[in-house]
Amino acid sequence: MRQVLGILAAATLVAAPSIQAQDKQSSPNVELTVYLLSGATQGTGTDDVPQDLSSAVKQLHGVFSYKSYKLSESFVLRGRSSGPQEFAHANTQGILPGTGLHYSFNYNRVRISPEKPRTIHIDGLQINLHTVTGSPSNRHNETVASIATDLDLGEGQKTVVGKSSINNAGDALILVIVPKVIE
Amino acid sequence: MNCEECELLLAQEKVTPDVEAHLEQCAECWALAAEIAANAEALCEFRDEALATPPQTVGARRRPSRWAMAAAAAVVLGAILFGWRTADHGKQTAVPPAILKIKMLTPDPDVVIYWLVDANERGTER
Repeated sequence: MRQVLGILAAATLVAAPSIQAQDKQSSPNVELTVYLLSGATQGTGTDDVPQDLSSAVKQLHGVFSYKSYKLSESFVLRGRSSGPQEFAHANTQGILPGTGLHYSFNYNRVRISPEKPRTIHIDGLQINLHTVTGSPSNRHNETVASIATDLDLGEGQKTVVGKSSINNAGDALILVIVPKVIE
Repeated sequence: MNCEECELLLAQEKVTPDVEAHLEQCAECWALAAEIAANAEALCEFRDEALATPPQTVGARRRPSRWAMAAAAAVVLGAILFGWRTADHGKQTAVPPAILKIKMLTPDPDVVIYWLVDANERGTER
């Protein structure tokens, strides 16, 4: 289930070439470990998440009334941090096991604060769950659920981003993101 | 106009032609303006929601609870932002999706929760 994707972002640079070269040499990479969870309003109340997420799920149980949380997918996305004048997009996509739903995850750029402890700013983070129908030449995507936001992540922290009522049952779509700076 | 000046004016609900000109050139300030507008719209959505009546405690000392103060602050913020949104900006701008982002600090310092309230749940694209 766990995919490890080393995706060095394609960069759209707007700075001068000499500055771009300097930034590329000095910019550390940021590795995001992303867990995609669902929070269920119905069911047996048994969680199905890896041990790494037990602390985050414990806090979710303390805040929300979802009966159980289940891991749908996890992946690692690695990209270069951006300077103030550039955007280094990164994205990945796949299919959620057992559902047939397609997902796409992307961001516009990540920036790292200079002060300690470091904060990783993600601009334009977006995950989209969608169905795909039609022929290859006339592909039709219908969005089922999505999350789009900017985020500030503490290095090593587990940051949970969620949204309620993504379907008629009232289930929740939840991302747990753990950032790591690669010097 | 620099970003700091633009942010100050946005916070003061002063959308001047200079601010609009800056927003057209600055993605970050545009995103901030869009977020402010989206929060205002989401807060407006809450205005019509019925709130549960809290149980009354006989003999309890009457003082505003933290929730009441937070709700009052939210209403004030919503009114300010709603006023900014409905102000005459001089031209039509795109309406961003209504998203309210709530940050929750948990007892575990290594876990932070953001919860999104989104009025536009579904969409279709080709």
